[in-house]
Amino acid sequence: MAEPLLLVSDLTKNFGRFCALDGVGLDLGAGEVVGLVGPNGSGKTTLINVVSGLYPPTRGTVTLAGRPVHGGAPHTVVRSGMNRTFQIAKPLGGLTVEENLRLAGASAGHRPLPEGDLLQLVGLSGLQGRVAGSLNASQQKRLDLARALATGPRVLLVDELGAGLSPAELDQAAGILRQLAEAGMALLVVEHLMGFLAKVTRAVVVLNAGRQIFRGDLDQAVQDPEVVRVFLGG
Amino acid sequence: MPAAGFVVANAFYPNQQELVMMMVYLALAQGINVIYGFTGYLPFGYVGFFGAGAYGLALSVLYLHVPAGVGLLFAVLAAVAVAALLFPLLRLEGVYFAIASLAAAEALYEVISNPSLAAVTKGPYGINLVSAYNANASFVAAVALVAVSMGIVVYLRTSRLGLALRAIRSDAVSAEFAGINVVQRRTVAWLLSAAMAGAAGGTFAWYTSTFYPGAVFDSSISIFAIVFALFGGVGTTWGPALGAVVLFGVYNAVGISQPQYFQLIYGVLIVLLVLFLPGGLGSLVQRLAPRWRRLRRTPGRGPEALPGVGGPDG
Repeated sequence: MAEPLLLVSDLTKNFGRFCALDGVGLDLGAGEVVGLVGPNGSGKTTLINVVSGLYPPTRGTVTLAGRPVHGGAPHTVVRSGMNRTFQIAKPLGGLTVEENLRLAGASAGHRPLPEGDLLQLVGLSGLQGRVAGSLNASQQKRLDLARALATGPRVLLVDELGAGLSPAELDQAAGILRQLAEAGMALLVVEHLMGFLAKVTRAVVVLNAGRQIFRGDLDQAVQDPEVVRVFLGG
Repeated sequence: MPAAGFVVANAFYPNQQELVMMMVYLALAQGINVIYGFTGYLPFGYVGFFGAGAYGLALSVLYLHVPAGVGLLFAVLAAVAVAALLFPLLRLEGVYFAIASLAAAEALYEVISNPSLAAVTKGPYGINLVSAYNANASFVAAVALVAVSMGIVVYLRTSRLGLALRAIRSDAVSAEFAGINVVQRRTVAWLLSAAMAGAAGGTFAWYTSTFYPGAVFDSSISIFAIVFALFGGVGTTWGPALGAVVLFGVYNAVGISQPQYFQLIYGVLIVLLVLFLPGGLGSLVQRLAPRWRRLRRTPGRGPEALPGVGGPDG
């Protein structure tokens, strides 16, 4: 088997004495989509924050196409071909939509889609001149995704894209993610909405208290006794 | 264009010193624009770079015997060196940064004015550069200072560096994920802003030729530069220049003859500005420009088109 695009091993993150991630391992190949699920506080967003370079890991490694990227600032991770979205969208509010994408595209690691295609993909055509801060929440999420895509990532970490979207927008978002995977992008999708996740992938990793407790098919996950206990209590 | 304005003004206006001070403040206001308008760091101790520049020029002229024009380079170098020493301040944010930069400027003042260092810095006894005094040459330096500082802001308004800095000001984390090296870009802005204040300090020292340390480390210089920049509107090309010219003009019209009213007039102006034009004078231009264009597009309707101009959208 070829080397995976993204390889995370033994990733550990402590905040003071609190252990948010405890030796998590993960691998993603090109075109592969893995859902990352788990109850609140299980470490999903922390995993994305550490993998994307926002926090340095306490221990463990992250390699992207064979090159270690852990411990580097986010812009170095971005330039080596990995990007992310945010649970609560964080567009560059003082800049226009076009400036957001132009800036991100200028530091692209790999050849990204042209801006016009990107806007069309995420459904923001015609809003190039708008100041990002004046967009509504759903449009800001789309821009967040477009900003990440404009840097031409090979691996995309998607943090709760579904949260706050309408059913029609969810279908649209799932379609976009499938399209990206078909084009060869590797996706790690953190999601609370299982219906939405099921439209994108069957493969899931379940985290609880900073540890991986399950990896496999979504259907098997819901029958796994530990997963059931973690989600439903008891 | 503003540089040319000052050259023309010099031919008609008798008080050259006032013009030089206005140009020095214009450069300082643009320096505040670079660091605050583009990155969001508000340095209350901005005068530290001004003082470092004044001493950089003075000491290089006194000890290295360089011509004052070359001394300006030392002025810039001195300010940049101080800025490099203060890199750790950039880890602070908002009011903490503002206060820390103020403390740093005060510390620098205490060091330079310390009598024990009199052999090097002349301590509290001040600098005498009369041998290098040249009103015309230093006036030309001030004009160049205005041209360069305007040029820097125009560059930032149109370049990728400027776009990156505005992005950082919007959200530093998102800027990182747009692929921007936030620490590096911020550092460039910080050094650039310090260099502008250093050049302004050097120009001031050259033109004035005698000064005490208290005069070039006076914290009211920071406050003036910040107020001028905010009054005109930071983040714009013309705002800080306009602010410096208008407010420094007001200061000279009433501040010197009637200092008691000057404080009052300044206070009222700033309160009005904060209440009605938080974006500065520059934002007024931005607000009025579309209306002006609309006015011009309907020439045939003449004056009766006017009532609609002040309509519900404005």
